[in-house]
Amino acid sequence: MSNLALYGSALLVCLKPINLLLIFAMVALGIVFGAIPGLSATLGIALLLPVTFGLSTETSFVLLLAIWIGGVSGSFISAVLIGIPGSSSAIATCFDGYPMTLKGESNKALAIGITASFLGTLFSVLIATLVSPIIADFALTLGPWEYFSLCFCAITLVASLSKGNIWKGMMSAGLGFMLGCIGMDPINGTQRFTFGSTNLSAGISTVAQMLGMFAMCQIIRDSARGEAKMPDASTAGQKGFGIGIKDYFKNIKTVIFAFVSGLWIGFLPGMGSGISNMVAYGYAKSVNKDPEVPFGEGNPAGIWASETANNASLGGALIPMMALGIPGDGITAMLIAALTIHGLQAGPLFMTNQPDLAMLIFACVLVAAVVTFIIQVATKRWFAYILRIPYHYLYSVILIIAYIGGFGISNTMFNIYVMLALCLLSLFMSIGGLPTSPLVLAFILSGKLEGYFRRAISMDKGHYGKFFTRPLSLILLLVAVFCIIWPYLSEYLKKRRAAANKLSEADKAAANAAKYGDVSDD
Amino acid sequence: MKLKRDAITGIVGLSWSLIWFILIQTQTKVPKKLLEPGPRLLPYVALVVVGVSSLMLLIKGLRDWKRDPKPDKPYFPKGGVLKVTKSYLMLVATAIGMAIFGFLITAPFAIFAFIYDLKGNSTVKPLNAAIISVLVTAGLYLMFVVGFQVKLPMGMLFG
Repeated sequence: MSNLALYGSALLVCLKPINLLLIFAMVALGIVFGAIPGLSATLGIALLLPVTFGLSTETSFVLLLAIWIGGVSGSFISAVLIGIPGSSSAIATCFDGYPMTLKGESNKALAIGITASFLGTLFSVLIATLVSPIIADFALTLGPWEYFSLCFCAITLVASLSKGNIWKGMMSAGLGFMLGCIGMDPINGTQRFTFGSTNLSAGISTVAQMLGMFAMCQIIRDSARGEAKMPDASTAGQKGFGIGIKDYFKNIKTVIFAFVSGLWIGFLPGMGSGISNMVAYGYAKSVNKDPEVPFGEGNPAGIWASETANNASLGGALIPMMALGIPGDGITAMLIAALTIHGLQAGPLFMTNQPDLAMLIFACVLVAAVVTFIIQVATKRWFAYILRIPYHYLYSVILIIAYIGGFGISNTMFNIYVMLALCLLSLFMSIGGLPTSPLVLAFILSGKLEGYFRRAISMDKGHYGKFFTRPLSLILLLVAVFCIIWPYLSEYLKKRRAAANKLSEADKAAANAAKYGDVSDD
Repeated sequence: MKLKRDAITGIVGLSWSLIWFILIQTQTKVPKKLLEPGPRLLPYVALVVVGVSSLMLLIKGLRDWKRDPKPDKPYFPKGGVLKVTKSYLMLVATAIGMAIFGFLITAPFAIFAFIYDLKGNSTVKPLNAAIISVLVTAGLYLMFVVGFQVKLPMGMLFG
């Protein structure tokens, strides 16, 4: 069956009444998770994963993808209404969204957010649907050398992008490797760090890790830091849709750039929607040199840029996940974990051996995007109520669901203890300023990284040369090295430039002094 | 003398690297006659990554401290450490409760305690919190056990 036919039948599966009902319910839940600062689509997926243990693969993915799309899209709501982003992907939305609300234009700002999110998701997932099978076909021709280099490159890219200091990112990645070492080794099944426990033989569960590090840690940490309070959101002025087709065409250039940059940034590992919204916002600012309303004071182009880009990243992140089995961000890492739970392995073989399920994933994202748009348009006037849910009730329920999830992994208390231990680790990491994303990515990729490396050496009878003689492998390794060097190189270049500027200013001052000195002499 | 947070992170990382090295030696056996680097490869890579980054953080922390000996801003506000410790102990107590008494008995008490722990400056009426705790427990039980066929902890006393 051709991919087009498979895609058609996958769309029909998504449109079955029961699946459509689930998509509506999960999208609505996702919007709530995305809208409330502190909660996120990642947390929603982590909490939902244990629910899927008893469900079919199709139904599980319908649930998970719907909450994902709703969650990513919903993050603009709090950014617009209270000036606090629902997640890092909506930081740039705050810059102009909240000022618009303060000026009484929240209806228009929300409408832009809804439309831009929809367009970003819709077109990016269509591109992902077309491009992923091509990349997957190409990926089948690659060997363990290239795969190792790709995983290595992904981890270094994420670590080098860590806020503040590359060494913090590297340390976090190292801790992820350590967690990934626990259990049986992927090549010859040697037990590592299991201390004789059968529970540890299978390694640390990704679900337990996510629940401990994201749900539990985040809740008790935010509460202790006093970050669980929010200003009141107003429900006033929500009449009509808020924007017309003219508004869209007025910002078409910004939207197109935001879309392309968002798609590309989403494709790169670790550079998800958190970065793309800032890049697109920066571009919108640079092309609108003389705007009617200055940026930062309620310019609609700022929201168009930010929301189109962060949702376009979503389709971008789907491409490496589906075609290569490499997660682009924390959420796709969770989706890969979900595939593993259902006995499937993301990557080129998945696209070839399970094309029906692969197409179902793409089709479900598309349907979920449309459903998100419908729900958001229909419920826009009530968005402010989401932000009024009392935190203490909501968080208490989430904590209990985390326990249910932890228990459900193996029907033993063991994973609940693992969750508690990882919650503590995450707490110490936060205090030390270590980011969690490199740990998550390194943990997920550690098995693959080690497996590909050792298999490559084994295939080449103990030689390492092919890592450097195979062109793609070499390019990826060079990119990885560049990622590590770049922060230092850019700092050095900045210093040199600053020193050169200082010198030229000093020269000018000296020349002036000499000139005026000459004049006074005269 | 109060060290910068980076320096403390570096010291903790280096200490952990030492423990990790001992664990590699004692907890990982290497099969003989391998054509590849063997099962100790990834643990050693992890050791090097954590060790080197810890050392760099320690150096950075000491350098920053030399430049500006003022201590870092505390991560938690006043009373935050106590609060986070209390919250964490509550999580541990809930886990122990579930292991002994099971989900149905532990969950309402745990939810009640969490509501009070997380409420901050908001006012919560005990009766409301109690009713919500019981209703949420019943709702979750029905949803997971009946709806999704997911097992919940029975507890040692009842399992």
